[in-house]
Amino acid sequence: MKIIHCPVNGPRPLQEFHYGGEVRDEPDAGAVSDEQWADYVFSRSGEPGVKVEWWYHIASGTWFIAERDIVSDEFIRTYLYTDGPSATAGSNP
Amino acid sequence: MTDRLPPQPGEWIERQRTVRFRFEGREYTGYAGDTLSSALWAAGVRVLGRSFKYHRPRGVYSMANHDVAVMVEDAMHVKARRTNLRGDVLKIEDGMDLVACNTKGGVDKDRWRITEKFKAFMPVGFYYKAFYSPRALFPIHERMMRKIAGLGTMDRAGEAESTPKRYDFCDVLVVGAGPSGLSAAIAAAEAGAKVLVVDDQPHIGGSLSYQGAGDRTRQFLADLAQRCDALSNLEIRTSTEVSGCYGDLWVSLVDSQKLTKLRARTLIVAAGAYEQPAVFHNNDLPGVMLATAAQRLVHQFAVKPCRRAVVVAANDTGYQAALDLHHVGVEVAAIADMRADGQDAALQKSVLDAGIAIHQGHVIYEAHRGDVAVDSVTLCALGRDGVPDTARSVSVDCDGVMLSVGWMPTNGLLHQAGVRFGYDDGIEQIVPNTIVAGVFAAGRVVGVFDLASRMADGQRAGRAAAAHLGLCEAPGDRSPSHAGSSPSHPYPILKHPHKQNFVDFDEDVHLSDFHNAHQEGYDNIELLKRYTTVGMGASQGKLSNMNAVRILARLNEKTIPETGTTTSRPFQHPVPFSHLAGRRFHPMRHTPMHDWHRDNGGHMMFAGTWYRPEYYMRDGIDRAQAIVGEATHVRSAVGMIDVSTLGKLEVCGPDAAAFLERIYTGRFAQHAVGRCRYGLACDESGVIIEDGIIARTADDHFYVTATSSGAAAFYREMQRFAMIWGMNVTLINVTGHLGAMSLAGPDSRRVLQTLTGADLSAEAFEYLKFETAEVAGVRARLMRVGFVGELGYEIHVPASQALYVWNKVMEADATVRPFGVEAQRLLRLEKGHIIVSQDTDALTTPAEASLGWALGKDKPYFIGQRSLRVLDQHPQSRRLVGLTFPDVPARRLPLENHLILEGDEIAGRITSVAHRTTLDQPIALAYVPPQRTEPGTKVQVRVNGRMIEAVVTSLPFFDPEAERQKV
Amino acid sequence: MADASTRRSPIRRQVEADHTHVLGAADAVLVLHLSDASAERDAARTLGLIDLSVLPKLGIKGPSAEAWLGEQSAPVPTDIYDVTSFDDGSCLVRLGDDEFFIEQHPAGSRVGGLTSLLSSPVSGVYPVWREDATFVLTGASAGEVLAQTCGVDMDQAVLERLIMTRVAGVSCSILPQMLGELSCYRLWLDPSFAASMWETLTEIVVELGGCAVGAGCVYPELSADS
Repeated sequence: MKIIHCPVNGPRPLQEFHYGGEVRDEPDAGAVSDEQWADYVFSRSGEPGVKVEWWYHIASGTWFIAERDIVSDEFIRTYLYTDGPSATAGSNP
Repeated sequence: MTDRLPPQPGEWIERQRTVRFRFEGREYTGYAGDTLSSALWAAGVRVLGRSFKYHRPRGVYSMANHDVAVMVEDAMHVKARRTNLRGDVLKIEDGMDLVACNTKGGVDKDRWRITEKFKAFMPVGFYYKAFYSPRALFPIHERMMRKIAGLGTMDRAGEAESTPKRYDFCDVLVVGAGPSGLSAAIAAAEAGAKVLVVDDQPHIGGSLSYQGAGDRTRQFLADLAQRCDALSNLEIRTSTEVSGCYGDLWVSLVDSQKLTKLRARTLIVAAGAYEQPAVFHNNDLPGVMLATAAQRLVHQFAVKPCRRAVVVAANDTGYQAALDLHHVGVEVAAIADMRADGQDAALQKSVLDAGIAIHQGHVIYEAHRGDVAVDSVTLCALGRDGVPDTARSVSVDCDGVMLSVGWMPTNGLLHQAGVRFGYDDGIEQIVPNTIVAGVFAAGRVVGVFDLASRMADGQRAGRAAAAHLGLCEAPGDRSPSHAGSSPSHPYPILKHPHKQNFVDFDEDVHLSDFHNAHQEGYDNIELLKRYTTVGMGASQGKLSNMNAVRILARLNEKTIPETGTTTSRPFQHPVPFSHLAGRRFHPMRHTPMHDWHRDNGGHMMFAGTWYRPEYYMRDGIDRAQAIVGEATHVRSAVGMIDVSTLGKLEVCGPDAAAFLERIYTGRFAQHAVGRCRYGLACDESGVIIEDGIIARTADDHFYVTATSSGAAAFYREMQRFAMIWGMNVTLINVTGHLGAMSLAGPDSRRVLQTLTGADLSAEAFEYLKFETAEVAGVRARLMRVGFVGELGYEIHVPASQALYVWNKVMEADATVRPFGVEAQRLLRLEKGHIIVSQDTDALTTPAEASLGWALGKDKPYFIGQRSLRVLDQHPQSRRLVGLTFPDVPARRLPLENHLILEGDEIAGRITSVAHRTTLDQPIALAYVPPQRTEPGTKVQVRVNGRMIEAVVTSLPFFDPEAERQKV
Repeated sequence: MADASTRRSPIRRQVEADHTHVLGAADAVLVLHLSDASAERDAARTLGLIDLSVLPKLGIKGPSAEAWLGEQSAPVPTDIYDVTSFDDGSCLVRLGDDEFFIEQHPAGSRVGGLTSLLSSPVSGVYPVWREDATFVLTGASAGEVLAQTCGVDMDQAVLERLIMTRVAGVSCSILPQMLGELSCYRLWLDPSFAASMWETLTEIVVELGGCAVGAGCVYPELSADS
C-alpha cells in the first residue's frame, strides 16, 4: 500500500486518506459560456503525466495538495494549499 | 520405513519422536520434522496424488512446494476440516487423517483416470468450444466437470476462523535465508539496520541444506548462523512466506498463525531459483523428479529417493546430485548429459570413478511405466540441431529419474516491486535489467551460482541496502558474472508422437497443446497462457512458465526477450482464507441510547455505519402493526425518537453567514438569531446533495444539522471550500459529541415543559425557534422543527448526558412512547417531506423535487447556481409527486423503485412508499413526467409483471396547511 | 452500579465495577477498580485496558484561541500535536494552528473553569463540546495491541506527542505517555465508535493475556480516597 507524506502528519499509508479529485480552478461563472461551464463541471483529462490532486488525511481532517505522476504512481511532493508548491515540508525523499 | 537412510548430518527430522498418521485410509509412521511428502516417500508410497485433468498418478517432484503434485485434505470426518494442503510443506502430526484431493475411489484406484482415454476429445481449450448445445444439458455438464476437474472440497459446515493480523516494520527485509540472503542480512545488520530475514522452509540454509552437502558447506552455514545470532538487530523467521509485494514495499508475510503486514524500507530478494523440469514423454511419472528434490530427500529427510537412478544433467550441479545419490547407496545407472561438452573435469572424474556411466550429448526421450511408477527410460543421442536421434537410443532400467536441466529465478517479488527483466544468453536465464530505488537482489535469483560468489553478492546487496538508508557507503562492486557453462539448458523440451510430455503439471498441459494453440492464433504470451492455462494452476507456473516462454519463442521464431513473460502478481503461494480475513474490523456506531433501545424491545437495524432501532417490538403485534402503532401514537399523543445520528456542525466566525450563503442555496445573511431555517445544498452540477436545519445561535455562530449518511463528506467539503475561498470561518464537526432526540406529538409541549425552565408556550417558543436551555438540569439546544408534521422539539445535549435526559423525558409522563426509524419515515412521508438519497438520486435538481422555493433570489453565488441556470433553459424531464392507490388491493401495492411506464417506455419510478399509514390509505412519492403532475392524473406502475393504477395526489397527504406543527 | 450522575461513559454497560469514585464537579462516576485492586495493578504492568471516558473535556477552536489561552496563563504548546500539563494535572493538546483540546485530570477543575470563562462569547474563540471516549492501554505489552490494530510504527513514537491515525478502522488519536511507572498509550476517539472499539481492544487484550482494569491503576491517589 502506498505511502503519502501528509504535510502535517508525515508519511502514512494510503488507507488513512481520502482522494479529493484533481485541483481545478473554478472559472468565473459570469465570464464563461454554458458549454465552457459544462466542460469545467464534467470533463476531466486522462492524459498521462503529473497531476495536481486534492488529498485529505481523514483522522486529522487535513486537506493538502499532492503532485503525482499518474503513470508511475509516484507522489512527487505534497504541500498545504495555503503554503503553495514552494514549501519543502512534506516532500517525498 | 523401507527407504529411510541412516542419520544424515544436518537432517531436519527428529528420530527420537515418531509420528503416526493416516493417508488414504492406511496407517504410516514418520518422524517429527517430516513433511507428508518425505514421510510417505520414506514409507515406499509412490502414488501421492492424481493430476487435475487426466488424473494421472503423481509422486513427489520438487519437494519444495514448487509443484502441487501432493495436494491433500483432511478426511471427511475430521472436525474443522482443512483442504488444499500441500504435502511438501505439511508437517506430519500425530493423529492426522489425510486423503488426496480430487479422486474418485482413492488415489490408487482413482476412477476418474478414465478421462485420459478421452483426451483426443479434450484438446487445449476444448471447454471454450464444447457444451454449448443442447443448452438444457449444460447444468449436467457443469456439475460433471466440477467433480472431475477440481481441487479440494470445502467444509460447508465449518466455523469461520479468525486469525490475528499484525503490522510490522523493518529497515531491510531479506527474502531467503540461504547463503546469499544470510550474507546480505549480516552485512546490513552490521551497518546498523533493523533486519528481518524470512524463509518459507522450517530451517535456515537454503540450498546449503541440500546441495553440495559436505563438511565445507555445513561449516559455511554454521558460521553464518552464528554471526546472525550475535546481531540483536537481525531477526529470522522461518516457515514464513512472502506472499506478495505491494506499493512502497508493503509486504504480506504468511505463517501458520497469521498474516503480517510489513512495511520494509528496503527489500533484498535472495530467494534463489526454481529448478526446472525437462519435457519428454511421461515426464510426470512417479519417480521422475527434480535433482534438487532427490537431494532434499537425502539431506533434509534422510530418505533414499530410489534404488536405481538415471540423472539427466545439462549442468554441473546434476553431476553433484548424482554423486550425492551414489554416496547414500543409490545405484546411479547413468548420467544423460545434454551438453556435447563443457562439464567440470573434476566432477566428471569423480563420477566416472564412482562407476557411473556418462552418456554425453544424450537426453531422455521417453520414460516407461511399470505398475504405477517409472521402471525404465529410453535415452537418445541429441543431433546437432537438438533433435533426438531415435535410431541411436539406449534403454536403461531405473525407478528414479532426476532432472537437472536448468533454473528459473524466483523473481515474482522483484517484478511486483517494479523491477523489469531481460535475458542473459550466457546463463540462459531471465535477469533484472532495471534498478528500482530501495530494491536489491542477490544470488541465484540474479544468475550468480557459485557459492563463494553468492555470499559475496549477498554482502554487496546488504551493504547497498544499508547505504540506501544512509547507514554506510555504497559498495562499488556489482554482481559477479557467471563463469563456466550455463547452469540452464536453452530448450530441454522434446516432441513426442504420444503427447504425454507435460509442460504444466498442475493443468496437464502438454507440448502439442502449445502447437495447437499457436496454430489457432494464440501467438502472444498473454493469450497463449490464458488459452492453454499454463501457469494458472496452484503452483502459478513455477515449473512451467519458463518452458512455456521457450516454446513460444521457438514457435514464433523469435528470441526470448522478444517473446516476453507474463506479469507476476500476488500471491506467491496459496494463502488460507482465514489469514486473509483475519480479525474483522467492522466498526459500527452506537448512539448514547443504544443500550436503552435494546433493553426496551428495539429491533435494531444498520443505517449506514449506525445501529438504529427500526421499530420497537411489542407482544402480539407484528412489524407493520408496530410501525403504524408508533406513528399513530405520535399523531395522537406524544412519541420520542433518537436522532443522535444526525450530522451536527458548528459554523463560526465573522464570515459564517456569507460562507453558508455560498454553500447552501438559500439566504442566511438576514437569518435572525434564535431561529431555524431549512437548508438545501447542491454540488456544482446542480444536483441535491444535502439538506438539514440551520439554526443561528449568534451573529457569528450557526448550528447546522445534516443527514446521517452525508455529514462526514459534507463537513469535509465545507473545510475545503472554506480554505479555497479564504473565508474567516471556523468549522467544527460535533456529530458524535452530541446526542439528540426528537419529542413529537400534540402532548409534546406539556411533557417537555415539566423538564425545563424555558418558556415553551406557543407565543414564547414559536415554530422554528432555537434556544439554549436546561432540560432535566442538563445544558441543551432546543429547536422546534416539523419533519414529522406535529408539534415537536429536538433536544440536543452532550453525548455523555443524552441517556440521562432521554430517561428523564420517558419518566416525565407515561404517555411518552419511543418510535423508531420506520415510523419516522412514515410520518414524514405523510407530510410529503423528501429524504435526500432516498427520494433524490444522483441527478435530482431542486426543481425536480419541488424545492425551488429553497433557492435564494438574487444571490451572487451558491454552489450549483451556474449549472441550475443552464438547466433552467431546458425542459424538465421529471417531477417528484405524491401518489395514492385507490383501487389497488394490498398485495399488489408497489415497492420502492417499481417503475412507472407509458407503453414500453419508462416514465418514472416510486421512491418512497408506505402500504399502511395513519391515513388509512397507502401513499407514495414518485418521479413522473412533467406533463403528468396534475393531481388526479392516472399513471401505470408495473409491479411484479402486472400493471396497477396510481393517482397523482397533491402534497402533503396530511394537514396541508401544516397547522399541527405550528401550534 | 447504581449511578445517579448525569454523565455516563459510552461503554458504561460493558464495564461492571465494584469500586467507583465520584467526580462530583463533573457529575460522573469513574471506575477505580473492577474487582481486586492489587491484582489489577499487577495486570496493568503487563497489559491493561482502562476506560477514562467520563473525564471532562473541552475543545477550543478559533483564530484567537492561542492568544486567549495564553491570557489564561495556560501552558500553550508551541508545536502541533505537542501536549503540556496544567498545574492541576489536566492536559492541553495542540491539534492545529487554531485548535486545542483539554482533558481534565480526575482531581482537577480546569475544564469547568475554562468553560465558565467562555459562557459569554469571546471573539475568535469558540468552545467545542467534546465527549471523546478515552481508553488507555497500559503495560509492557500495550504496544502489541497497537501492532495488531494500527499501521503506524509505535517504536518511532515520541512520549507526549499526539499521533492522529486509524486504530481498528476508526479514526483515533494516540498519545504515548508515562503514567507513574506505567508505560501507556492514551486513545481518544469519537464516542459513537467507543463500543465497537472497546469490544475489539478487549478481544485482543484478553487474547494476549491482559484484561480490563480500573482507573485506580493510573490514578493511585484516588484509590486512597474511596
